Amino acid sequence: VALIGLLAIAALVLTSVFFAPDRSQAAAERYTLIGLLVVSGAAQWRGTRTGLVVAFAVFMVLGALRGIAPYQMPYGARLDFFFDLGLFLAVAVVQGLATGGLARRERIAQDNERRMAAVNRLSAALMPSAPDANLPSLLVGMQDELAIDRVVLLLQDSSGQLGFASPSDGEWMARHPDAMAFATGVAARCASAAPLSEYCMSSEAVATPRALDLGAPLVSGGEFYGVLYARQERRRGERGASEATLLELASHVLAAFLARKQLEMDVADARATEASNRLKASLVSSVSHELKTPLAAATATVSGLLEEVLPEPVRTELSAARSDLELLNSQIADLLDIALLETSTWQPAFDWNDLHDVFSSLMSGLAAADRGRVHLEVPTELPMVRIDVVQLTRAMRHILENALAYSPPETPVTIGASSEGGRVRIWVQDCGPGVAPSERERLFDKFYRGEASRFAPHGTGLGLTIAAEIARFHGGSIRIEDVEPHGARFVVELPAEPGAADDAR
Amino acid sequence: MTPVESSTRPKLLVVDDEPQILRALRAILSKNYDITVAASGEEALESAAETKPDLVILDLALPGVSGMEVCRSLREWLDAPILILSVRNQEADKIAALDLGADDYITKPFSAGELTAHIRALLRRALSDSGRPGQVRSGDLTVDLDERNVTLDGELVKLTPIEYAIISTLASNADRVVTSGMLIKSVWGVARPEDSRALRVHISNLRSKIERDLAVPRHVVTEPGVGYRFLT
Repeated sequence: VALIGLLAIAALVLTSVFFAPDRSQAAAERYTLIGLLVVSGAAQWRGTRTGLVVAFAVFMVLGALRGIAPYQMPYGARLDFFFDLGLFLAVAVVQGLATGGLARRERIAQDNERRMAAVNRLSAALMPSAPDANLPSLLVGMQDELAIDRVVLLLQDSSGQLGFASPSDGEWMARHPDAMAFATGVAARCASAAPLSEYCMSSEAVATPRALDLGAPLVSGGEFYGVLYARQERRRGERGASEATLLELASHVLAAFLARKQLEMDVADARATEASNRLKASLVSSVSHELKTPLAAATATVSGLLEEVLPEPVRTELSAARSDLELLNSQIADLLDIALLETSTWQPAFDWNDLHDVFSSLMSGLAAADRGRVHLEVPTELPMVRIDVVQLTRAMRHILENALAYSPPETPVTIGASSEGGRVRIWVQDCGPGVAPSERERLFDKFYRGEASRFAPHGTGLGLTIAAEIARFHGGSIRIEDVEPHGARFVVELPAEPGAADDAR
Repeated sequence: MTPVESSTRPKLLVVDDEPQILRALRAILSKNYDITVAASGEEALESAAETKPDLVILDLALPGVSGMEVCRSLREWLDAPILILSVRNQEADKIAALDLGADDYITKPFSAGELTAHIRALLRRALSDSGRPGQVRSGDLTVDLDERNVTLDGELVKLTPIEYAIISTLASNADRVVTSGMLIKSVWGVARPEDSRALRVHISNLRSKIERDLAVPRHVVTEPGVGYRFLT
């Protein structure tokens, strides 16, 4: 463009010199044509304003060439001269507008390119493969690169409070309360939106006479992380809209980055928990071995002695010792069970099973004194269920023992079962005092002893906790119902097949 | 109980690394059995080769060569029954050991009576194994493996081919624990996980034909989480 302009001026000078001696013969049309070329070149080179100045200058030069003194211009000129002037001005305007538009578009394209490059650099710096990213310095880099006056990153901490990524941001915000108010406004809009909607994803802009404030919420995966705030002072500024787009882009990149960081932290947490659970589980298993070995030896020895011919007092004492050992064994088993269940390392051995096997195990495991009390009211037709049969039997035994212990001796306890729509219900019903509604939740708490515990001097207070945990592992639950006229019914409800599609209620 | 003559006393190999357990087992068993003790897997294999025991009591938790490995090695050449000592919550280990050829298991802590009952049943079966048992009885139930029929109290029981396959497999392993996997394999040829459900259904149907009280089976009893046992 500059070259064309220079050539045009050179041509003007040369033609002026060339035609000057012979101006009487010079045709007005020729001058006009040359003048047009010059005006068009100038307008193309420097835009409309320059084009207009040059158009007027060329008009004056042409006047001079036609023998009209500058001081006579423009009043001394003939009418067709003014036609030339009009033509020059029109060309200057049209050409200037056209090329000026081009130049502006080019500048916008360059700006966009610069912005895209900045966003790309930002995302590259935040790639998982990149060395540890320093967010504040990255943002300062972006701010300088794009000549934005201030970029501030506000992050929401776990308690929902907004904090600053760098201390200098905090100081700046403290000096600009209006900016702070705007940023917290954007944050509040998102923090209160639940679930986070499209509305929350978009950025917000507010223009004051002095500056343009932009705020973009950082949202990724339905999680709100904070606000990216930017301020652009007003300087003949026409940039607003594209700056907002840029900020929104950057906010998505940042939000994705923060989401990934969060995920990494969660994974690390989960790993740590898992490691600690594994440690606890292996501790439980080694403690369990240490406890059980002497217990097994003592049980075997005492029961071996009881097989001998013994004087009656010795036999009585030994029998008592054996009962104590059995009690100790079941209490240790409870403690180890709950410890293992709490580490979540327990893996249920699910397999298809006949619920009748659970009931016969329960019946054959009863103490002689309780056999007459327990009645089985179970339909012969029950669906096969996918359960950990050993654990579920243990859960039911705890519930059964609870019913036997917490209802008056000699009163019956009934075991029942039914099935409906892919779920089975197993219940144990007693004629005891029942469970007050206020107690029902706490009954499954560790070591909780019911109000009626006067009936039950023994036990660790863990049985129902273990039963509830086992039911939970099966995707089921335990609830307590009242029985008329008095008594409690503990209902275990399980899916026939844990995790099966038809279980999705 | 009167001590048995030394020459006819069965020889037991007890493999356990816990001195307390060994002491208790010695106290219970030495009256009626000749006991050899091994405290590790290596020792157990040597000892077994030397003494040719009539029955092996094997703890699965051993230092060095594992109980599982000992079980596998012994089964390669030793016909004597193997009784596994295991602890609660280890059904998977029990199944693995039974699948490797162990005959039975007992869970710690156990009483002396329980232990000797298991040992007696295993030895009795080992002795009768020499001749082919054409008929296996469980109370009033008789499984005739030669005639391929089952009678309850003298009456012929009508069974489907699969039900007969199940009960004949159990009866020919009378008093031993047969794992569900072994049973499925012997009935259907291959073991697929989905067969487990079918097996439970067939066993349930079988029981309704041979058991008087379904709540307390007397002939085919379930070993929860492990398998089944035909009681003689």
